[in-house]
Amino acid sequence: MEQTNVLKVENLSVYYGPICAVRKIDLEVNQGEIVALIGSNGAGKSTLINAILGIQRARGGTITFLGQNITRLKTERIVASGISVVPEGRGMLADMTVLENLQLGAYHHKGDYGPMLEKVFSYFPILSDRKTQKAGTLSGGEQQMLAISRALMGEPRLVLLDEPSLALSPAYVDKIFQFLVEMKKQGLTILLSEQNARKALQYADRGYVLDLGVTVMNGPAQELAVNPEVKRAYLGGE
Amino acid sequence: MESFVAQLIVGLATGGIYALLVLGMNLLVLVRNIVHHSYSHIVVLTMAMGWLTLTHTNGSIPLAVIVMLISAIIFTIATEPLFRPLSVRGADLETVTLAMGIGIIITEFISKYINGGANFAFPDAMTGRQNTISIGLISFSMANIVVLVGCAAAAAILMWFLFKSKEGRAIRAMAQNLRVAKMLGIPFGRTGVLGFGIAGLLAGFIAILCVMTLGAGSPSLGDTFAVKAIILMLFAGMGNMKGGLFSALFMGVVEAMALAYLPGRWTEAVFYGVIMLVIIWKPNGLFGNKH
Repeated sequence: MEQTNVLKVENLSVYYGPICAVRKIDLEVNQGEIVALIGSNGAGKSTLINAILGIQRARGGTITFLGQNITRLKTERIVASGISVVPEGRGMLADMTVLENLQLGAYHHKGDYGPMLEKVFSYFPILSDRKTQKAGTLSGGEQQMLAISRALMGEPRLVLLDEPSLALSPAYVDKIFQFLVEMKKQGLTILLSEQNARKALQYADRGYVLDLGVTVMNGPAQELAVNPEVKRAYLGGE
Repeated sequence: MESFVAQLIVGLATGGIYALLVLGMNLLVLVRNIVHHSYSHIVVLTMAMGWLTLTHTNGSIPLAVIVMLISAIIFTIATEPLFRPLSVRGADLETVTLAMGIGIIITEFISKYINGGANFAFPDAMTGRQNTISIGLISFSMANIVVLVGCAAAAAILMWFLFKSKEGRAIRAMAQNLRVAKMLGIPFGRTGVLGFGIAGLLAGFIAILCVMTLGAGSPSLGDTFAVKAIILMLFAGMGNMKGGLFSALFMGVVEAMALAYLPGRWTEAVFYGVIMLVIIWKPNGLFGNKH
């Protein structure tokens, strides 16, 4: 069996009561790549991310992470096995300090998280300056840096990002994506959902286009970016 | 002046016990977002377990203390599975009803099976009421001092746990945003049981302090404590640990002063009178901005 894929989703279906949010989706994320899920609101991107994380239960199909079937595992076990998330809307624990948010990100860290904390502070010195401040007092962009840093604290193999560019200024969006590319070069594997298809395809290696819970297209990001249908539906028809 | 100081110490000791009750219940607010009305009943049931141990053995105090601590932990953790489904659904009224039901069952049990429903008194050796300390004209019982120190130590340890330890941080994260806490991989079940276990240990400790200051338990003691604890929680703001601590100490002193200086039994009226005023003027509690 090929061991290059970090995450393999096969035939996955997720329902909210009688409503099908994700229908028989297949997806693969290989070691050291950035994969983007694009599609409009309600296409099933967030549901897919929540299903991988075990927050939303799959009705059918399997999710395999590093060769282990995680479809039925509890979220805490999935996180402990090496997947972390940057939640939609950043998921700040607003009344807790920046440092406490980071420490919580290291909840499942097996050893000493000190070196990782140093590393994160070296990526984003502003977080070090504000470590005793409540997370809720940070600006939107700083909160997104904190959310990403928090996701890195447990030294995961795979990071899921749910709409990382949401409510961020364009300057920050580029900064965040450039940081993700930097992390990729250090061996991190990334799966992100993004309504901002243009940015996502600019920085990702591969993409999956979701519509109404099914994959309508997938392939290398550059190819999707020039595909006439994708252009018409998601890139504002140039 | 001398009697004022003595009353102040009595008041602080009483307030310290209220404070620990409020801290224990506030911990459960953080862990499962529930108001555990029957927490005080568990304390009194624990006192009854201590009394049973003393009467059925040859009166070994260390054994009674161990039995009390262990049974308090068991009783408190035993209620966790009952609250868990309600807490997940966020059913506030049902939670209060469930907690009151548990309290009523405990009260009934104590009035039927412990000392035939009469007050169950503890031997003087366990209460420490006989040892009085005199400084000049001020005299007060040793028990009050032990209780004061014990309360301060328990409160300090609990605060350290919540604000400095990894699991304490996880509990506060769950209280603040359960969904995000789960996404960070904080185990909802295990962390909750841990929180209930710590609240249980605290309940056992409170029971021991109550034995020392009150010298006896009674079937109705759980209700008396429960009402006061809930009112103090409202007074300080639900889930507000530090606010609850100070409010309880303050009310203990108000109560002791009313007992000493007002004619007749006006203690309760003064206690609730002060609290009613605060609830009317500060709907989120004296220290509260949450909820």
